[in-house]
Amino acid sequence: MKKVRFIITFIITILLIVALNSSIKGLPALGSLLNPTSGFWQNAEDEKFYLPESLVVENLKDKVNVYFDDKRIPHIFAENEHDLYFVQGYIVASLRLWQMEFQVLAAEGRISEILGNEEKYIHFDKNQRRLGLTYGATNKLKAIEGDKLANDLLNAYTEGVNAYISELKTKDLPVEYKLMGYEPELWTNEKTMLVIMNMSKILGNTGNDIENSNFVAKYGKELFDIIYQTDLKIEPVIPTPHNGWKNEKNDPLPIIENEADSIIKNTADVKLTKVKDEQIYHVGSNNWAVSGSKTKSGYPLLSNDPHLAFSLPSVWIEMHLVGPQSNAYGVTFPGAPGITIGFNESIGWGMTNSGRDVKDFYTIEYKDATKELYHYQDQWLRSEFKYEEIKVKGAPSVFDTVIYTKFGPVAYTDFQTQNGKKDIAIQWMPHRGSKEYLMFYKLNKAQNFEEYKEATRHFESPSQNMVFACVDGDIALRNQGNFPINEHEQSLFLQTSNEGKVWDNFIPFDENPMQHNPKRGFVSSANQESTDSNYPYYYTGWFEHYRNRVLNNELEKISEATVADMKALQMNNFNLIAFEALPLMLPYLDKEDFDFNHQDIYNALNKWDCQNVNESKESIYFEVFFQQYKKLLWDEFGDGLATPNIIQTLTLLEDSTKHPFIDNKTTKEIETQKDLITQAFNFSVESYENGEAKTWGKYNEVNFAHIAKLEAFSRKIETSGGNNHVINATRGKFGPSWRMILDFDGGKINGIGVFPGGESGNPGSPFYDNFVDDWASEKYHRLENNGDKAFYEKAIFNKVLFLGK
Amino acid sequence: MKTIFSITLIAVLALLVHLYLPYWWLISIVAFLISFAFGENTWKAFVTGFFGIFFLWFTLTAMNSINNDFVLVNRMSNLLPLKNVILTMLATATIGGLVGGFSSLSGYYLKTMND
Repeated sequence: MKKVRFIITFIITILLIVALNSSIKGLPALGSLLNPTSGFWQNAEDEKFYLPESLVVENLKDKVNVYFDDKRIPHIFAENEHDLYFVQGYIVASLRLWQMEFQVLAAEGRISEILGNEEKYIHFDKNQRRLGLTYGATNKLKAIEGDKLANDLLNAYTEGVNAYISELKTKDLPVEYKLMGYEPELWTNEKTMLVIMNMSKILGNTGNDIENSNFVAKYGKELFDIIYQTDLKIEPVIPTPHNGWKNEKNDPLPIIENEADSIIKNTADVKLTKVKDEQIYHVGSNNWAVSGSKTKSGYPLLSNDPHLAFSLPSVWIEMHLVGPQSNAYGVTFPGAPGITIGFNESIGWGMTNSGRDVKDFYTIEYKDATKELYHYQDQWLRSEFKYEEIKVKGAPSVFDTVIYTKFGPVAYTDFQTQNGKKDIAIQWMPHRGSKEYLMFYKLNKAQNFEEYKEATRHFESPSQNMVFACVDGDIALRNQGNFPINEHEQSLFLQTSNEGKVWDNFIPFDENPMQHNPKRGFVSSANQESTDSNYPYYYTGWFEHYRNRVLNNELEKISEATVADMKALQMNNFNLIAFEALPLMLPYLDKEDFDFNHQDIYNALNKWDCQNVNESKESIYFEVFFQQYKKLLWDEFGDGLATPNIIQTLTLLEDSTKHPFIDNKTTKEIETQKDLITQAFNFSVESYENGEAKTWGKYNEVNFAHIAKLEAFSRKIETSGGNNHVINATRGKFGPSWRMILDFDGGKINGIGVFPGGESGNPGSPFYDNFVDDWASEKYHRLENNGDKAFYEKAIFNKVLFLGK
Repeated sequence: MKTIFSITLIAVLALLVHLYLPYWWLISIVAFLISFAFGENTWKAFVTGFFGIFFLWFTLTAMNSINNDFVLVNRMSNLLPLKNVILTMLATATIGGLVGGFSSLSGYYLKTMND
């Protein structure tokens, strides 16, 4: 009997321990998560610094000093470039390991493996693989491996990340690994490439070819040209130079006949299938440089605020990298070697997305149902089948076959068109081998305009407007990327695999639009059209039409500019949409229908200064009024058609006679503009009354969502202002993810900046979100780029000395 | 008296296990051996194991949280179903306590198996 009670109790004990170490139904293993010595408690950072004072690592050639300042920004001093990139990898991993790996797993389409068996995860993974992000990463890796210098630096970075991972103890794993019950893999150069593919998806994945073809099939080309006008109020990034477009050798660019017949033959008429999961249209950025002729100091000022999705950990990490011939300071993506946006002792640079469309779509004409052969340029070519195994946590793998054509992967299968079910393949610039990291490496060291120009040639996608300023007084801006030469309107519409052609002709890099010390005394970009229509090469894309006009207007006016002016400009909340839309919309309202309340609101909107600031109620009224108007107006434009953009919408409001879409199809009556605008206005008044948010700051609450959407690791704050089409583009989930201002006063660069996050990716660290409040209260901190080690030795910073074995 | 002695001994030895051995659940061996050596009766065996580990774990989590200004435990308790810092600490200590208690009981039952 006593034997039995021992055995039973013993078994209970064992089972209890086993159960506490097992993950049940995707929930973390309680014992592993909760025990105080290796569970989450170990991630609680105390006053003791998180790294030892000295670290001996393999593969390091010389000693490396790292100084962490009071904001935990690392200042890395290395004797050679290998060691610099090695230790950068190590430090980034030590601060952001989970994030840097998770974004790559997402790019590869492997989140089901981590997050479990849910339809949305599997759907996401399938789409990622069909978009071919890994395919692009492999091609990029092949291209850069041919360049010994770049390849060595990638290897050094990878070695550094892995030196950290391989010494990592279970108790020190980032808390997300403990929660989701997995462990980090070793880093690879391919993962480094996936980081840029991930950005390509965020920034360069536009293209409404299918939706445009649908529209033409349904309503015809004539109406298409009316609805989707493109030549509206354009103040391009690079205006046509007074002596015409020239290349770098000062030869005029070729003249290309743009009046060719429209080439659309392939109309899709998709049965309103949902084409895209999510339109990321709030992504944008501003950058500008003001030349010494317009500044108080007589030296340039440079600003950049890239607008990306807000997240915790932040998309950016701030670093200072000092090597034998370089002293670069700025921000980079965890997983991306070097500095992405920043400055060195001579130059500063920044990015905005150029938005030019480098994604074409083709319906594939197979010979038969086996899909083994497809028609291309009157030949039958063999399809390549790539089998994808999507591992799923706690469930059997899901399998998918992705067909690769000469254009690229089949991104959409069994698409319903008027010619039956079709596969649609994409040809996408980021799939091509290119050496973007080489540009960052060279920019980090560049000393002048010529070196900036040479460095930027290596950047092919996602295309960017790259602003530049130098201590010698030069300013410049280049619209850089690799762009195929398209026939007129070719890139607008869906093509067939037989009529389509693999890109073989590209705009030479030295014919990309560039401005160097223009007469107007500034260069600027805010995601608008790269050029006006005098630029000989045809292109389309996603462009923004409001921020740039406010920005240029302010920059035209400015003189004796100072850093304070640049700050004010980054925080500019003037809503040009409201300014242009209200005079068009308000006159439609019939005052006789107003009750007292309506009259007050009408008056307020009429007098409103169009500032999207915290206290302003008008901001809410206008926002809801306008969004509702667009919704009622474009009710026909569900899935399968592209909703016209704001400038197209307002242009049609100016001249409603041509407008065929005013009627609301869900009601019996035939609506007029007046009906829609009145309904939208009433809706706005009602929703303000019923809504919780009574100030714009509350209405425009910003959510810094944790990357895996864990709410407890996220933060919400009210904003002081902003909107997605104003310069301070803070709206909901998107906005200025990094604000930087560089002052070149006296031939020395002084920088200030802030990003809404913190250096550490650990929710148990005080450095996880410590910059959020600074960012929200419009504070910047000094970007300390002192190139002298002694400066940091003296200060009471945390020091780590890296030694080779 | 002996119970308090055993509880203290389990807590101290379990702390050493935590400091020098890789797996958290090796504390069960401590509780098992102490009750095997000093266990008095069923009830006391369980209590010594339970509170030996419970007090140790509660102290560790409290020290850890105080040194961290409760930053992490605040976030984690919002993530976990308990939604409360103290409850999260108590739940953690209870889990340890259960492992300690059953291990300790097993040790006592082994000792008395042939009585």
